[in-house]
Amino acid sequence: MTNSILSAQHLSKKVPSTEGQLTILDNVSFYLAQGDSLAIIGRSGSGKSTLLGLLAGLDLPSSGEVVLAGHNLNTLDEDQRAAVRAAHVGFVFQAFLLLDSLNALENVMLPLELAGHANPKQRASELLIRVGLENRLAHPVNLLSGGEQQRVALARAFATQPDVLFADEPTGNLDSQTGESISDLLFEINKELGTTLVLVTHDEKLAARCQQHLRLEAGRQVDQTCN
Amino acid sequence: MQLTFITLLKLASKQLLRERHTSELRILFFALVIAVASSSTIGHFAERLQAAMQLRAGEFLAADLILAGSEEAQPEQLATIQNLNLNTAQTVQFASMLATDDGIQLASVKAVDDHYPLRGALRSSEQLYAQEISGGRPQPGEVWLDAELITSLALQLGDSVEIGAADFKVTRIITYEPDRAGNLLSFTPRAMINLADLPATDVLQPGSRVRYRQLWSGDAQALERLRNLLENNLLPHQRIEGLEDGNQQVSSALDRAASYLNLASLAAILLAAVAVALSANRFARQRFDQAALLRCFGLSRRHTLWMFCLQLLILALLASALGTLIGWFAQLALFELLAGLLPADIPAGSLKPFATGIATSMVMLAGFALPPLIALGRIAPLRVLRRDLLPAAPATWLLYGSVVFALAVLMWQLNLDMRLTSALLVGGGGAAAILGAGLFFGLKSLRFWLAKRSLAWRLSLGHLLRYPINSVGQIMAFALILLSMALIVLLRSELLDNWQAQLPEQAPNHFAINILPAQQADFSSALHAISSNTAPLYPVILGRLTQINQQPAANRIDPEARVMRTLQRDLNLTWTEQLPKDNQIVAGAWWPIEQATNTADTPYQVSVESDLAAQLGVGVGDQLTFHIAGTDYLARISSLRTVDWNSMQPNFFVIFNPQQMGNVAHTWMTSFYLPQHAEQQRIDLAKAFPSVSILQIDAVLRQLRDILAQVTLAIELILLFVLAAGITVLIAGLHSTLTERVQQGALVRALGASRKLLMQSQRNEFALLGACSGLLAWLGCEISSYILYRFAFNLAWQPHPWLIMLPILGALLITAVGMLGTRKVLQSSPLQILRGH
Repeated sequence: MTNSILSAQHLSKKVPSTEGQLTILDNVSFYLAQGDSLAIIGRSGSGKSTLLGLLAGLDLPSSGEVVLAGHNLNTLDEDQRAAVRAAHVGFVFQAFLLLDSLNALENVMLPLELAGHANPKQRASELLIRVGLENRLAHPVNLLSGGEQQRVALARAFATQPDVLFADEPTGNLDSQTGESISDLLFEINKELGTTLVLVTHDEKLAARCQQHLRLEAGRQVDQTCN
Repeated sequence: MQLTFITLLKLASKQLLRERHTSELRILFFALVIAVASSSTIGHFAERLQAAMQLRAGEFLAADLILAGSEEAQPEQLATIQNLNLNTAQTVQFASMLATDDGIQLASVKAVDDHYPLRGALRSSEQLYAQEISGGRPQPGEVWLDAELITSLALQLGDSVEIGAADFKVTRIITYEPDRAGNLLSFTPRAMINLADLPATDVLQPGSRVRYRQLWSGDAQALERLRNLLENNLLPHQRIEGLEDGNQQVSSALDRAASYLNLASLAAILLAAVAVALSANRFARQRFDQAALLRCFGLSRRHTLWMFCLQLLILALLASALGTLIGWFAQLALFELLAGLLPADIPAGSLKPFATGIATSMVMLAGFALPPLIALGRIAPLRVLRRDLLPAAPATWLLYGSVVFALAVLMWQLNLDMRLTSALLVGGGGAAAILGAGLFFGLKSLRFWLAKRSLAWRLSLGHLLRYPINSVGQIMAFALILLSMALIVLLRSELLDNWQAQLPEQAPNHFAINILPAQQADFSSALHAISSNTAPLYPVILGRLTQINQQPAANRIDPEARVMRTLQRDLNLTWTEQLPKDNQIVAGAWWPIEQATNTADTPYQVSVESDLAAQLGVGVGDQLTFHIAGTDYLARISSLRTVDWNSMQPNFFVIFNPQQMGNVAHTWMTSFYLPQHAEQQRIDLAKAFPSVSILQIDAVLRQLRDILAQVTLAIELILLFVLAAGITVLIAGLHSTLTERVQQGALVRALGASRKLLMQSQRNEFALLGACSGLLAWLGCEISSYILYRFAFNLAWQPHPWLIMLPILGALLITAVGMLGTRKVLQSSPLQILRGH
């Protein structure tokens, strides 16, 4: 566990509801070494996205702990967790979450500029070329197809060379062919950069490409396997 | 992630530049531009107009500021103000006998230097009733005389008269003296000489009753400093006279116009504030995802908030720059339009409205845009995974506190009466809360009604009812826009009607004084033959108030109080059976006509003007002693009256009971109207009654009418500006609420609704929104107009039935603007809208 980049110990999340406390995640534990990939799989409502949020420090667990890049997230406040994300984390979302008001290049430049990168434009252009969008640099993102938008999101996620990439249903909004090409790209760049990948999906085929699998059912960890 | 302020600023500017095409930024930008442009246009316009009007008002003083005293101003007093770069003149006024070989006559002699008058011009003629010449002043050795002196001393131009030890040649007949217009009834006829001749007359001796006046004119700021300097070094016998002493009608008209302009500014700013609040809200809502993403990228809560605040700050600065520029050109254009009507020498405006414009936009942003922005700092980063997560709403105290603070700062900057405006705001806020709650429950109760209605109604009302609090907020915002516009229209009509009533077309334009008792009946019938509007004839006696409740009056009054002047001169007293028209009893009772009491042990009865009574500190039942023609008359105050000093009728501070005064030596006076072309009739009347002085106040009335016409025009223009701002803000405001409607319309169309159904449902929704806003605006307008009339303008308040048009107007206006804004739904493919293209 010495080279663990991400670990979870007895993670639980409970939320208040009209019928008392509702447990949406119950006693989840695992650890990931640098460069590993983990697929979190399960049906809708099984707690996959909740777990992703806790692992990325977007939310805090009701009990248990998450250690990300050596930082115990439970002991950090919101701004300290944000600093950890800035230094170590990248995201890809099912809904892409690109900023409509910016073009493709500007969307990728944004995290680089926030991180004070010396030449954000060059780096963003290289990444967009890498994801096959050399002809779409100045396009408004709302005029791009779904596949193209997710490529921009991939370029943005890898722009700051994060240690851990969290991907929430990255192909969920795409047809199978486009989805496949996006997942190819995701795993290729992941391999090139040696990024640790945490992938939330209900697509078994996509999950099969990861080294580790964690299956959730009604918030409980029912299975953890390694390829 | 540690970012420096400069990095944040750079990032914010880049972000702003990249997002410059987004509609919410444009709307916010234009809302701010409108706010700054309207406040700085009105600011520039009002400032310059006020200065122009003051120039005109200054003509009634012949200066902008005067130091008057019974002795000459001390050299050390004048030394302190030499550097102020002001024009200055001097006059000395005293009573003296004019002597010719054939007779003598008491005159009010005024010695003027070569700079008099500093404002306005003397008018004179070279023959009785001949063509007027404007300008000039008596040169050394010359005397200019009133027509009355020429007639009573049977003089010709070129004749010689003696004043004290000096001889003067009569060279002109004075027809208009600017600074005498303010005091129309200074009965002693005027003789004007050059100040250089004053020593030669040898009239002024120690103890003589003399009025020395040092006049100044010039730049407003320098005058303000002068006033301060003079106030600090004022001697007991001296008094500062400003424009407020010139002419009561002009200064009250200017005061009201200034209040109106300031209120119009506040209305324009409120309108823009509504637009800023609505569009800032939209700006913030559109950035929830962006804020969540930034937090995911590692930006701290504080930096995220700063990032958006800086964007808005830059936007506000740009909008202020453009707004003030537009404001500057708009006021230039306004003055260009009015070139023929306004005085040619309008002073250039200061830079203050520029600064005010920028400050306005900053304060408005802080007050109205900060609360929705703060939400961006509170956004949970988890929103990237759970899109339904909304930021916690800012604390209520912050929301309302910032709005109240912003309004307070804006009011302070507009010099509005804080107490009044606070009352207006608190009253308005209270009314808004009550009406808003009523509206909320009204909307909720519509649910029952809705179930049985057509699909079009269910669709349109469904939208309003789903978020009743939001709908109430929108309705209130639109109501505020309609209210501001209606209130400004309302006040304009009232002010104009009020001024019209003050100066009716046939207002008396002549005063006749010194009518001897023997001439009274003949003069009255001669007057009725030529004039369509004559005031009653009043007896006039001169008397001085010497004691109050049998104590010397001077001991009871602060020596520096203005009322001391009243005690130091003879008052025009009268008696009459009937309460004069335009007078109203406010305390005590007017005497019954048949009451006759004049026994040795019963004091005389007097009715006193209420303001004078207040300044003297007396009321009904107190006793006043008047010294009249060598005899003291002890009088008990039986009533207090208000007097309309603007009525152009003979008006009196003190009226005696007629049954007691019949034997006192007196003359009579009246006022009457003669049309301009009746010159010959006036000359005939003057010739038939040579001892009667007929004073023409045509010039004064003309000037008053001119000033009021200009102020009226200014008010009309400002009104147009406020209305234009109102309509623009309404469009901007409505536009900011359209996104959701457009989306929903597209969805309904995608589900198969016809264009007709969609149009019908949207029309219903907008009409209801507009009608509710109009209804609130109507009630709000009546409440605020009541407060304003009562406390700001001293006007009588009555309900305004035409305001019932507001709900209809609101429905029409909002339907038109709304349908125009949502036409996109009807024209483009629903798929395009749903995909966000």
